[in-house]
Amino acid sequence: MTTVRQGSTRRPAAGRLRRRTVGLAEKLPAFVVAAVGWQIGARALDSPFLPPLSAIAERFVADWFTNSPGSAFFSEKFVDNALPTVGRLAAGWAVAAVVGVVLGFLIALLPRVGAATDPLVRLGMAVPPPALLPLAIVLFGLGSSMKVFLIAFGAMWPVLVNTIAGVRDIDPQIVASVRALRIDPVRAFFLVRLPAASPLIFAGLRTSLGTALILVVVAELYASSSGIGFVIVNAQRNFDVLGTWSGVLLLGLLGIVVNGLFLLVEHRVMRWHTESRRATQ
Amino acid sequence: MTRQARLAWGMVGVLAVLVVMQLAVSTDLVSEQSVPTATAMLAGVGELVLSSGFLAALADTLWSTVIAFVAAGLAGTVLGVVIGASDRLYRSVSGLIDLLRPIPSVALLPVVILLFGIGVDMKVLLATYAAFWPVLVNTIYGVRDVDRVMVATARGFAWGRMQVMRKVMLPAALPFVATGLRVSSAVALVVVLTAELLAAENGVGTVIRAYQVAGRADFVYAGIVVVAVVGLVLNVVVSMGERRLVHWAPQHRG
Repeated sequence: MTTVRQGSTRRPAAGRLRRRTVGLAEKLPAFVVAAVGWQIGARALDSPFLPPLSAIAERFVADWFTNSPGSAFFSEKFVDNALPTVGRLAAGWAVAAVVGVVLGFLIALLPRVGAATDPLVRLGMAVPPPALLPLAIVLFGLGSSMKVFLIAFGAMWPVLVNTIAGVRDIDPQIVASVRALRIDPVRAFFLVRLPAASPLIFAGLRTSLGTALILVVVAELYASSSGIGFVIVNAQRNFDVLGTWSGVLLLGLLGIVVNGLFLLVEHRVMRWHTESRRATQ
Repeated sequence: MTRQARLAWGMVGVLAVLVVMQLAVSTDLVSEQSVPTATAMLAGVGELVLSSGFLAALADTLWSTVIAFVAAGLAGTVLGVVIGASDRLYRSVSGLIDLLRPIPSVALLPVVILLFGIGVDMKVLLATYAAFWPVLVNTIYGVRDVDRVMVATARGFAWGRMQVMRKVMLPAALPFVATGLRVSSAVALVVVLTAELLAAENGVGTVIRAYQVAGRADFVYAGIVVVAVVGLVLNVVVSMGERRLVHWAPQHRG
């Protein structure tokens, strides 16, 4: 602890680097223990359904990567299945984000619209998103539009609710100032309201990203002819245990990467906010 | 806007949706295969709620949710307190937790099916796993947030580790634990339903899936309305429990 503090007073950049390596050195043993524990546990249990981690890793590399010339690093199976999954996820989440923010502003700024939609929003919020899958199929069949609709509709609610809360929470004095300065509504939206509501909007976006990921998996597990979920369910039906685990591992990694990317973007976009908060404290 | 006005507008909103549904179908704008008329949907809700088969399925779903919620709540709270109370343990496992948490629990479903079949255990197990994380993370956060001076003071009274944990850390962390429990109750229901939709023998999810396969849009919509109401009731009940448990905490006072 003391070394970290000394480091950070000397030079901030060096201190940060040092803290990170200290953190990593502390965190690494847990990963090693978990991995070794799995390996030993699986060997001891000797269950056909719980293979040792080394076998899963081997299959994982064989499934998704290649060193054949002409294809860049990733295998054909990866291109054919991971890309559709990511595409559906991105399309559905983008729609959810835009619709959620726009509707959220309308509901928050127009009291009558807010009152009229209040019961609907509460009900929509309460539907467990995967339960919408049969509805999406009834509406759109089994294709890609069904998946994008499911993700967009199911993942919209956290964005919507947080945008409403974020806009209603804006300091009334700020709103009054905007009015007094006669800033035109469009500029006021982009310069004042949107940034003021953005901390809560970002929190909603993060929740909805998790939901979107679950929904793309659910949709692909249920009905699909491509995608990581399709690969997994196919392997499971054929009792290809290693193939199942290798697909699950890829989905897990996708979740981690997507979440990490989001945190990175949020950190950058919201830097003004964390800095101004730190300044006022 | 007065309370009455809000309520009136809310009814206008709901009615508007129902009327649009009815008109869209009766004017052949959308096919009855994809959107039922509002009357057919509401009749479906009535029929479902009165059918003993559906109620048994609902009971199965709720029972699985409750078991998963209780198991996840216990495991998450205990582990959270243990991890949060020790600086060293917290720093060494936080990386592992950050790595495992964003993995979508549903992705594990095929593996869990391979390991446990498609019975009740599978649903409960997956839901427990998923519902465990919110409780764990919130409990850790709450314990880390405990005023260090309070802990030092308690230590000053020569209280033992367990006593400090039970009388200082746990109460101070309780509002966070309660938040985690509220989130995890919703997660448990979502995951149980998902498991039922994808592969399970009993439960509301299997019933809705069967109606979808049979092409009965009215019952699909009706089932989702019922599930939404169940989710709403669950949320209200858990929120009430939360308020009772931590009525003294600042965010619930007044």
